[in-house]
Amino acid sequence: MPLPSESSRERLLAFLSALSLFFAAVEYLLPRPVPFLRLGVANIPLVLLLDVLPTKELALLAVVKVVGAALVNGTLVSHVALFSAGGTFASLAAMLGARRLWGKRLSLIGLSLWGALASNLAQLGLSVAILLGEAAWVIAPLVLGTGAATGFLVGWAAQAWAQRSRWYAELRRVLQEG
Amino acid sequence: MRNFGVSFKRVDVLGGWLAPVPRLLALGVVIGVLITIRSWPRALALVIYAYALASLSGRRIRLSYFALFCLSVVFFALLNPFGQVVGELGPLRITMGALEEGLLRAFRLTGLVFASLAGLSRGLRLPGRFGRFLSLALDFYQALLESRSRLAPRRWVESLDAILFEVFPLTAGDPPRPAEVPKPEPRAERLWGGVLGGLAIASVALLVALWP
Repeated sequence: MPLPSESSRERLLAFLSALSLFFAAVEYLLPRPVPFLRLGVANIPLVLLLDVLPTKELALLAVVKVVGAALVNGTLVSHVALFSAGGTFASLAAMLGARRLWGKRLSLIGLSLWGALASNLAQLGLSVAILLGEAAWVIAPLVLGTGAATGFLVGWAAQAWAQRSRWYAELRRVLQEG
Repeated sequence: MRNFGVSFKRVDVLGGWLAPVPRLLALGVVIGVLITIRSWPRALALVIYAYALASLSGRRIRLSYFALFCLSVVFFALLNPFGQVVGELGPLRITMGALEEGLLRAFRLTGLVFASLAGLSRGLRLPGRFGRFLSLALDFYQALLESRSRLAPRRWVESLDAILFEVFPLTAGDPPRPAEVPKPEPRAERLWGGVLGGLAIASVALLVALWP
């Protein structure tokens, strides 16, 4: 059944934001290569929603993910939130750009790889600017190499979910009809 | 939930004295001092102060994580040597300028995390339309978190589907609303306590910064 009103749409968007936060919480449970870098598991919902939501709503989801996670974890006014924001927005911008450039020829794994690359580059830039100074480039190969591997895994997981999830199929149908 | 070496612990003692907004404002002063301070011993004093406040906020902080974090920041600062040479560690020349720079940066960033942890109470709600939207998202998030023990790693797609259909069915006519968390009524003595407590918290930080 299509979503009947704007408040319904808002509730759906709020739920999708919560889903991103939920994946961010799952991400915290996983080990990470360098303490202050993220793996990108929290990006799975964004990768999947890229084709079903307009850019404005995707940006809203990204903002809620960053601010919400920072509020929940209590790190809103710290470098942790800045890294999260840098990684999330760079990743979203790169995935949107890649989708515009290559359209459906790019798989979810390809999209995720672009997102991971952009996220890691943004976080490296922030490391240079506020955390470790110029010496941070020393860890660039490790970060980018690990980022490529995790980007692949995140894309693979997103693809598996897109193919097998009944809830996601229902969501696509609802959004197309709405 | 484990995150950046931080997790919720027991009772939020600070929350019992201070309402969310005065608390955020008071810790905002601590954060402002941390950002502008230029001396690493003072920054270290503020780290200890902010750690005590974060502990009072019911957060459990793994100090080993932050010790490792500070060591990493100092190590990377030492890779850009400047100032008087004070020692050598293998091929690495340790200079006073780089060491002080690294210590200040490490303590400032650690202090910011601790102050942020102490300043943000779980009852804090942002104002306006975005604030309401964020509250709704956080209530849904809470509902999802309560179901997370049912996530099965081997059947993650199916188990996640079951949780999602339960929390947000999609097929029902009107999308569901999450259960609302009741807000505590502010009491007059708590409000005055909040103002005084906030001033006290901010004063200590200003004292550390301005002490001759």
